Amino acid sequence: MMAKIEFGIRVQGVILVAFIQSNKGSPLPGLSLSLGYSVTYLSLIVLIPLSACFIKAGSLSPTEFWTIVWSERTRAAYSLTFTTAFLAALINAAIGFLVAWVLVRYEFPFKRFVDAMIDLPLALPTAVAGLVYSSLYVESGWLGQFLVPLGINAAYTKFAIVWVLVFTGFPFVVRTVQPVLEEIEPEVEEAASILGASRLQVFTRILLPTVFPAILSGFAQAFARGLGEYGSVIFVSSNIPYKTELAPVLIVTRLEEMAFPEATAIATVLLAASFGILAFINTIEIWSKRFGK
Amino acid sequence: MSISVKNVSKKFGQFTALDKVSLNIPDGDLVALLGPSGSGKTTLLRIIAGLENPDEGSVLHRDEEVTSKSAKDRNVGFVFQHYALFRHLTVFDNIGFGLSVRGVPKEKIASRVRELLHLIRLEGLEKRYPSQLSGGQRQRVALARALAAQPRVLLLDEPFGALDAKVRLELREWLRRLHDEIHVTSIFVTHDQEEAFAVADTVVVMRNGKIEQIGTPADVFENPANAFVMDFLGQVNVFQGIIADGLPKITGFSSSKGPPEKDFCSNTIYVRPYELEIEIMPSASDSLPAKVLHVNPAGPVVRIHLQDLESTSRVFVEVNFAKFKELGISTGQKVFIQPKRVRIFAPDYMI
Repeated sequence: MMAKIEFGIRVQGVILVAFIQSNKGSPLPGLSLSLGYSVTYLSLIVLIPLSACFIKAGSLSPTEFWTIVWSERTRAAYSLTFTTAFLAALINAAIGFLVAWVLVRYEFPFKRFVDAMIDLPLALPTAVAGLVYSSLYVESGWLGQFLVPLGINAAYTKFAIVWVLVFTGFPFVVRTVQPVLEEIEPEVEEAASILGASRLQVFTRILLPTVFPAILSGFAQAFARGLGEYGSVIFVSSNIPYKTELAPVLIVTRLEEMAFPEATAIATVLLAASFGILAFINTIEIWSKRFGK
Repeated sequence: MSISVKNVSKKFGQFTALDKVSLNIPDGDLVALLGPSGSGKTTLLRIIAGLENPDEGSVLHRDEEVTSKSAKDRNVGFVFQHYALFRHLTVFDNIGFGLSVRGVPKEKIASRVRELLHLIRLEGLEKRYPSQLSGGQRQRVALARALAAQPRVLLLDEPFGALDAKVRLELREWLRRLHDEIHVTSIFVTHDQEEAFAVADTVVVMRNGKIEQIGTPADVFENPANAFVMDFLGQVNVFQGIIADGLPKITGFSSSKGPPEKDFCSNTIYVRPYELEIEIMPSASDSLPAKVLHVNPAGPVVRIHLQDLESTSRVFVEVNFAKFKELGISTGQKVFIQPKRVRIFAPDYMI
């Protein structure tokens, strides 16, 4: 195992050297130093832990690997993880855009306070969020006592998972859309309305397409956050296998059973799928930015 | 279409941008609103466009009162200083935007856009995005976009302000030719008097939210209404002078004459640099002695800085190159100056 990791570092080192040499002509000084630092840190923080995960999963034979990652229970967990994260990111894209819009376009009392509050979901331990959400929405909770009789059960269900993921991923869309909205010159909107566009047309044909890449980028971040979320969902979900068990929860369950290769195998699939989806979203984002700055 | 502005006032907080301004612009005219920054010219343009509402007064397009109409319903074309193009749309879609939001059929939009692309000489670039164009090209696209829906009036807010000198010159000549072709009533804002004179049929000089003078470029330049207009339209030499027997006398020029004191009326005399003559020997007893400080002989007009030896103030003179050769003056030399033409205004404005 150690030997494998060492080999991994050596390979990266070789790639690094080749990369630096190919950029020798750059007029900006300090390339080799700054790139060296970047790659070293990236290796220590992201690449080595992730490759360790892959290597651990590599101790399984292909058939073992397949039976673990493609069992009915794991498939149910993947599907739940991806759909809830996707839905939550979608809701966040809409709400986040609205909040960013309000923060940029209107002046109101305590605006700075509200602005600061946006980032709270990132600072709060997500387990606390999960606990608070579940206690609020259970039948005896503050909100649950009104909602449950209406048939809205927001604790220990899929709905609850989506709801708490909306909370944890909330800041991303706001923070990516806000600067882009601020950047739009009022002249552009004036130009559109002088050309005969109604307020709605200005919004749908000018503003929305301009901020779309930012919304997408915020969406991708919220989505990625949702995929890996564990702390909050463990409390709001009832964690019933096949029904409300998420992939990260399943991984921890396997770890508790001391089944490390199984846990890493599921993590590997989750990781690969996440990487693929994020790469896809980034591609759309690049495409939607084709008009340049 | 003719445009009338009647008694329009506009305040931004404590700042008075426009103070009871009235203006009539005949159909097909190309008008320059000229003035220093803060003179209210852009505010006036924005009020005509409907981007700003006047506090009082009214705006008429032909005989129709449009004061309360929104910009969207006024059918005006507007060109912004910084282009304000839609960066997520191609050149084609930018130009066609005004037609497309009005629900014009696609084929009609395409043919109109092609027509305009020809007019702005950007055929073949219709698939580009604004970020892929130069400043001059962007401004031409902005112009085509403003013209697409055949506006009744074209308004331009410092349209060449963001361009470099050469492109600016090209584009303003092009705008003049364009106007001669399509005759749409046009108003443009500028702080550059040379630009206003080169392009406009009529120049409106503004200061502190008021109109100082309206006239043709030649008229305004030759007969400035007051000292402000005189100063704003080009360099000017100021002499503290007196008027004797109804004739202006610059202090230095007339010091030896000594007419009775009661005939004097202290005043300021304005002389354009090209209306001063340099003499090696004084042609008259009232010629003003001066020392040559600096000579700039680049181009057909030679610019000479002198120091008035009486008042020690600086004097700026322009002579043509042939005259300069004939005089053969050099830095440090003592010469005499004599005005060909002087102007005097009521003392409401000091340069």
